[in-house]
Amino acid sequence: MSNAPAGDIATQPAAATHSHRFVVMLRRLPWGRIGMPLVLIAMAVFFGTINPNFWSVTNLTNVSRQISVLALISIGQTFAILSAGIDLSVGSLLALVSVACAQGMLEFGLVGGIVVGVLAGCLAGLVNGILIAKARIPAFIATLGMLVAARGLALTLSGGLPIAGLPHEFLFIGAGYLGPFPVPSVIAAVAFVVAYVLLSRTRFGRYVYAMGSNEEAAVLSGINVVKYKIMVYVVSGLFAGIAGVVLTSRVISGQPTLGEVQELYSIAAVVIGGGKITGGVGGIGRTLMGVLVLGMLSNGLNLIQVSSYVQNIVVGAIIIIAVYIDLARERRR
Amino acid sequence: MTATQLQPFLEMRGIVKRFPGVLALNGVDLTVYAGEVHVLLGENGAGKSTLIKILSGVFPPDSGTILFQGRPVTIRNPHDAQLLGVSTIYQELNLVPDMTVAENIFLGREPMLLRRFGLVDHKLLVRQARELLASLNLQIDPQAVVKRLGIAQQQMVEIAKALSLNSRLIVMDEPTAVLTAHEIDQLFSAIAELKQRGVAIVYISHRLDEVKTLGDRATVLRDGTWVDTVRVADTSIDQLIRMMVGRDLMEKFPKIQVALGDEVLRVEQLSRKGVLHDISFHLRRGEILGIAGLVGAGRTEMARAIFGADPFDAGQVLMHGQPVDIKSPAHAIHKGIALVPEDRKRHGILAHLSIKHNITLSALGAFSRGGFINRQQEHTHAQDYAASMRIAAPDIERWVHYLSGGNQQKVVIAKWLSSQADIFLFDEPTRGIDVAAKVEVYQLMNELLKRGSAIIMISSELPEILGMSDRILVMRGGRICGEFLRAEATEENILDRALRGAPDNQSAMETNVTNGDMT
Amino acid sequence: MNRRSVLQTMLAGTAAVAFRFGPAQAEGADDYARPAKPAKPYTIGVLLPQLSNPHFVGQAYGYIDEAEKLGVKVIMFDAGGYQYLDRQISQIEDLIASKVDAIIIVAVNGPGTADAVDRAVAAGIPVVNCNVMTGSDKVVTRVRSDDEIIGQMQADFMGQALKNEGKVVMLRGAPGTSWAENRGNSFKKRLIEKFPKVTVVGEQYSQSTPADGLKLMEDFLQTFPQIDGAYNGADTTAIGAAQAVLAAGRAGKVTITATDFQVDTEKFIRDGVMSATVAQQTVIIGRWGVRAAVNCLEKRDVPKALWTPLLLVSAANVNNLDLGTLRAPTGWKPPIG
Repeated sequence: MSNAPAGDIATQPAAATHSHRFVVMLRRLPWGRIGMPLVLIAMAVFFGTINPNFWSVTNLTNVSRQISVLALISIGQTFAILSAGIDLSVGSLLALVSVACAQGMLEFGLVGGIVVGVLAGCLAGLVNGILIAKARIPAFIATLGMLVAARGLALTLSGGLPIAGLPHEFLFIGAGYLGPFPVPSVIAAVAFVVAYVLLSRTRFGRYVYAMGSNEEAAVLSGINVVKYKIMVYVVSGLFAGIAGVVLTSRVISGQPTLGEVQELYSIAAVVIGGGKITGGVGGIGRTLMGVLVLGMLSNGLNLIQVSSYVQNIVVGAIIIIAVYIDLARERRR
Repeated sequence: MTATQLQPFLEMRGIVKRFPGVLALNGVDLTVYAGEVHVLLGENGAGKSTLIKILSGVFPPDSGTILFQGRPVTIRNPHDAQLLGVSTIYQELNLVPDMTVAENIFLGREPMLLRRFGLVDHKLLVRQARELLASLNLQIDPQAVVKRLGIAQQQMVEIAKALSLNSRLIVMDEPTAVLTAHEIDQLFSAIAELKQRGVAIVYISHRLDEVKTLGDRATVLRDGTWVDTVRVADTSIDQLIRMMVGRDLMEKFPKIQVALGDEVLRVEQLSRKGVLHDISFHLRRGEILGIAGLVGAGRTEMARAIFGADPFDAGQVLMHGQPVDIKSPAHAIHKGIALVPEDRKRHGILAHLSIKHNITLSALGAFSRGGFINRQQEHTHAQDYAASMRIAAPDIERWVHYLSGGNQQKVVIAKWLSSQADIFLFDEPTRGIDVAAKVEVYQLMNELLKRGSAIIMISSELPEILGMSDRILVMRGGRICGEFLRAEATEENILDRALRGAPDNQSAMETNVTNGDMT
Repeated sequence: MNRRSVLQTMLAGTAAVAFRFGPAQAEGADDYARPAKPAKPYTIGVLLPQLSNPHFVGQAYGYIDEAEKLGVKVIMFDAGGYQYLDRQISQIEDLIASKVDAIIIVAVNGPGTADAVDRAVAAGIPVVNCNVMTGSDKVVTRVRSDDEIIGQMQADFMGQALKNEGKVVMLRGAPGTSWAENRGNSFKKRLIEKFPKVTVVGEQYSQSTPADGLKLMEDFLQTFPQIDGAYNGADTTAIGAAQAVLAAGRAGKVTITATDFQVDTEKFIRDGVMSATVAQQTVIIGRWGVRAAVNCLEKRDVPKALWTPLLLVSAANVNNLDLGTLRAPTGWKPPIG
């Protein structure tokens, strides 16, 4: 029986080759942090080479505008998923908010309409929250019900038809500029900052992570899980409300058919960014990466004239690959 | 001892295993003979779990050789281990809770009626399971659903399962941690039966008295290194401890006496239908009230009821003489009560949060203003606690998930210390943690007493109860059936009460409170 | 020949005569001439609502074949459905960024696309509006069939087939589109004017797919005990309605009219399940769109409105049709973008 000497035991032969050292160095890089940004850069280079229009100011401005709505609802989704829940209703909420906002605008004017729209989102979020936190209905089911009901409500309120005749000043939100930046992008950027602060610097944010990591332990640690869960879904509804107003401005009409499938993309954004669907792991920065990947993909593929059908296949593949890589890294730990 | 072969059944030589930032095993050797009980000893973090996981195929070693009956083998995955005849029974049992005992035992190897159509021969399944259980003298219904069984019985099912796989080597990781004395006897006779059949057993335990009873030989690890392999009969407990910690542990139970203050807690006739009956006691500042009893006596339920985690039907709780109505854990914490739960994985830690965040979780109010957390303050506070409690980790940003059991427990305790509670409910505070860490926890309790706190300590380790308590309550079947002062308590009279109840209330059968936490 | 087909032949003839006096061009006439091949190979972005609808496949053929003949390049985008308004807006923005020479848009939504089209024009890209109208008034020209006439033709056929008395339902089509609005309104107006005893008992919007038409017609059949006719804004829903009527065992007893002429519509008309359809010359719409765009880029005058010809198809004339202007050649597939 041998006693190995204390200290580092090399498992490789003494003379390591250059390529071997390179691989080892590659392994040591903090992939968790730089992985996503590298992918984004690679995509940008790829698309930009095939169609240099990718780099044009107009295009970049377009992309940032186009992903603003997805970015906003993905922020809300991040909160929901972090708390070990999920919000399947955000797509339909876009439609509901759009109809409410447009209707409100026709009756109460520009500001009134915006307020009504955002409030509609918050209210729907509150209903979600109560169903999930108090009635203990699983988040998947509760928000699924809201997905169907909200769309139905939007169609009912609008009679299935678009609501036109909105004041032209409203266009500023969807199509206007603040300096060189499109207004929706500015709104999304501000929202990201606010959400980041909320999640990483406040008690609420900490409790969201705790609930998502281990709800029972969170309760036993004294966290009022009911109250904070409701807050999570109100937050999600709030961001859906803001997104809905921006989207309504972009199409300058209330449209009950908006937002179809968008909830799935918001979930994809969170997951591609590295958030765990089971909760407790993830963050606003990560979701931002996911949104950028999706936005750049869609825009880039459009510019190199790949059909939208193929685009869907690509997005699906990316979701699976991203999650696989994440799991593989965890297993190696 | 019936170690028959001259050639060892298993030989592990020079096993090395590295994890990010940690050298878990540094050239460890282990030799096991058929029919022997080989105990693996070491403090938490010594490398026992890692060695076992390599043997079970959970992950491969970085280097080293493994020989089965003289033949070198590679164990790439648990299936390989199984084929070689190795079964492992972990602390977290590997059963499917919603299936029956028979189904669990033969999971994946069910006897088939028609192989082509995948039809299981249920009758045969149940019969074979029954025979197996009988051969181990177990009174378990093969058609019982596993989640309704007590932990001890679930463990027995695991052993039966291992046998059905024709295992030649069974690894048991702290099997007695959740067992009562009676059940431990059953386990030991099952082990004796296994020895008779020539099965080798690798046994991990912190209970040194058990080691002396059961073990043939013992291998001691320390900080990932092999220290020594000895014959248990020839070695004293003190010698074993010295090998494990590298130093003499003078005082195993460093109990101090402080002056008792006024009454901080009084429980009157607390009842919950089917669970708790007429629980009454009081608690004073500066005292440790030990709660003894068998598994299923209702001790955890009582603690949870006081803490507001579970409701109760009748009775009341008074703090400082005033009745209080504690509706939730948050409320209890606000009033200054803390609960360190029995099952730290499920109820204690937030695995994907950092050590720092875990420590400060129940006390965030102290570091925040208007909802915003002062991160500097928080970091300093957590750093101080981590240092003073000697939580072993490169830094406090690390996820608690990656800490050893003992360190995780320390984090949980640190969380409660941060919350400025003054009544502490400890439920099995030193379960699954190593000797040195245990002592640290006891010293912590002393500090709490000096500060003027009061402690209720639920424990299944009689030495611990006797060593640390000022008074001892014994529970059985949801009732308090005995009270002893420190001076008059002995293992015998406590165990007697725990098993048989109060003298005027002894019933022939034991009633076990079904404990949702146990499954 | 039974009574019904005699009637239909007469009607086909009547309709064929009737619309010669409307603003629409004569039957099958490709009256907007192809200009000379331009010197520069322009790039034109074409935006379509829903390539899964054969109607748009016909148009696509028109755009692409005409572009080939004129030596210009076409980039085609599919919104994927009338509900994907923001996707079409994104596509417009992407075209602006790609700096195409001109845009041809078939809008998924009138008011919703107005602003994006304005922005394209402001960026110096002329926009030709085909088939489904956008709310923007800055387009170079509008190329379409006359929805007013389509509605009237369906009403005329329906009224006569029902002998001026009966109950009809309306499957109007995609909400928010000019065709669903205008054709349906025109239909109703014509009924009131000329066939007052034919009443509309139910009308609904839906997405423009057979599945939606099927479901809607099933619901109608359940709700109303008596249904003599079903109007359809587009033939996609009509195909679904026909299937519903077949399944209910009432084929031939419900007069189903529609717009457009895809393969399944042709089949149902032959089988007598569908009674008539107003066929748009989809290929011509495509060709004229490209011609208008090229003319505009070559700085020639372009008329503000270009009405493409219509053709009433029923059992009477279904066998003598020149499909060249109605559909893409069999087996042709659009290069999806």
